[in-house]
Amino acid sequence: MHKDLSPRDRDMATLDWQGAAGVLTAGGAWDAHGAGPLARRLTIAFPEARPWRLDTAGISRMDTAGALLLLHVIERLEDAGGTVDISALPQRHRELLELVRRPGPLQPPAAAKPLTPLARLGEVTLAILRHFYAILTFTGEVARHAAPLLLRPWQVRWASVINEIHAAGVLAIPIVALLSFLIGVVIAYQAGATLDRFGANIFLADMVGIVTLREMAPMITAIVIAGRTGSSYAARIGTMRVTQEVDALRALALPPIEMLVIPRILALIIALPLLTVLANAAGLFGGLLVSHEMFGLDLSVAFDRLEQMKNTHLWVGLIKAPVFAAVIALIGCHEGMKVRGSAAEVGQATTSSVVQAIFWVIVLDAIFSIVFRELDL
Amino acid sequence: MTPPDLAIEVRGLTNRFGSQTVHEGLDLKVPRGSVIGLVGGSGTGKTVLLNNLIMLTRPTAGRIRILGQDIDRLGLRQRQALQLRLGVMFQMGALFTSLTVLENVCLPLVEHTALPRALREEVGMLKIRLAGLPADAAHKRPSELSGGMVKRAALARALALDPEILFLDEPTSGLDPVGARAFDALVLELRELLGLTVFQITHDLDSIWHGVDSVAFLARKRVLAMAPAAELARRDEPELREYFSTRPLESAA
Repeated sequence: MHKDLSPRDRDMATLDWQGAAGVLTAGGAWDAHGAGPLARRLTIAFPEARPWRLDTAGISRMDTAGALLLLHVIERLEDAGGTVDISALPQRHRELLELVRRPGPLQPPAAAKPLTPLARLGEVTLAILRHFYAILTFTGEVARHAAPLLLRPWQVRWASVINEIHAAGVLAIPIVALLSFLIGVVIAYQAGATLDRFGANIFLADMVGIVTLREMAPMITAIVIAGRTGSSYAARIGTMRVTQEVDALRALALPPIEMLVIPRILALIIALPLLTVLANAAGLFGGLLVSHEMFGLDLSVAFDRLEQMKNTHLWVGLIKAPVFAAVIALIGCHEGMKVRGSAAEVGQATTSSVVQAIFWVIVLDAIFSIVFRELDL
Repeated sequence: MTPPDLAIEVRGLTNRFGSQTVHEGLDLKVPRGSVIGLVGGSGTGKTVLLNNLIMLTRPTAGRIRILGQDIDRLGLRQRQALQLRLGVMFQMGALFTSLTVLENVCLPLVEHTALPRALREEVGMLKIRLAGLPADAAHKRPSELSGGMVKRAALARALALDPEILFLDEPTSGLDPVGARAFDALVLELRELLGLTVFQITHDLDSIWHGVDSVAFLARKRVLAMAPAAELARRDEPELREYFSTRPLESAA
């Protein structure tokens, strides 16, 4: 990987020894750029231990790296029972040797040992458990701050709530509508091809209706919002921690949970169900459009069938939205509040918030499906 | 030609951003082996000048010679080679947060030299020690360091390749007075040990009085004066009088 940009002497450090004369002759550039090759060579060939006289007159340049290497040579010879006479060295070379010889550890202290696989497994498990615990603690803290507000709703920061609804809800309308429309199109395409074979095109309306209302619209909306808004919560709050804005709030006796977290959770709990309604409409539109155009489903028949469908499909889908919203907002805010000092953590918090939020949305959706099935809804 | 005893020579430097002129006809000469403090009020372009000198930005006009080389006439590789002979310590430390202190210090050695790993780490540890950090800081990450330790770690990284000129951007800002004096003493000691030329931006009056040989005072878009602080404090220019009146003279002893 190394690029040698050394502009000066292209020459490298050299060390020659003539046993007969007893002279160690150092020459060339004993600096960070020139010392590398010699250091490697010396691990292969090294002068024998005996009395030597060191001659550094041929050294064109010496820096601390070179001086360290020279010190190693001297110390290794002395350890092996030899001696090195450095009286002939120029003043500057002796000073540099003195500088690197100063007491103090030069070996880096041992880094923490890498863990064995078993210990790592334990570590990771503990980290996950601790993370769970932290989220639960955070949820509890939010609840503690939120409970009094239930009795005095006028104390909620409604201005921030409105702002957040605008950012998380209104501005997300185009993307949510487009994606839901496309999902509706895809469902109708896939279902239509199969139903067509049985001449059961008429059930396309049920198919599109049930899949969109119960599953796809709430899920797609939640996933889009997890990526779009959950991450922005983590990034915003995380940055505020780095710039100490969160500390400033605390110092001004303004609880950050009340100022930053609760308005965001509330905003998402309001915005996500509304977006889900929009996604329902866009998904049905996309699905029915394909059913009509590609599979010849009569629209009046389709609307008829949709009207006869149980309303529960709609409510089962919509009831999930506020739960998803609360989870996404909680995770985003928690990841943001977890940031301690550095800007790099903000990036990690953002990524982690999206991954976790999407994970929990899907897990919760599965749990919901089982519960609703058991309840026969 | 620049006499070989000048580390930095700037002639007729102009920096203009849009309609705003920061420097005009700025001249500066820094002898080798000296410790120079660059002072001036906010907005006088101290950091702009520093960025010119370390070749991060190009001035609108003017000649800059660093270690005798005209930096305008250098190709990319020559410029990089010259940059390796300069050490820079940024105001906030600019340590790489994903690396430990030792890895930060060793990074230039890894990338630019062929030193074997063991020797490299020893050089890194030596620089960490020279910068006045305890050895156990080597494996810490920047986020685990106090403000003063970040400054020292940044200094250690700036020293990694034994630079000939050391540029420091407000090295003592954010340090307590005791730590700031210790840092000044450290810089002066390193100058002696390593034969450095030191060019530092500073706002710290104690550093100006005791930590540098000479003060370059930026005002009226140029270096208005360059002399030891005691001499500048006696001058009549209104900018200088105002600046140095912020400190009672008797403590200047």
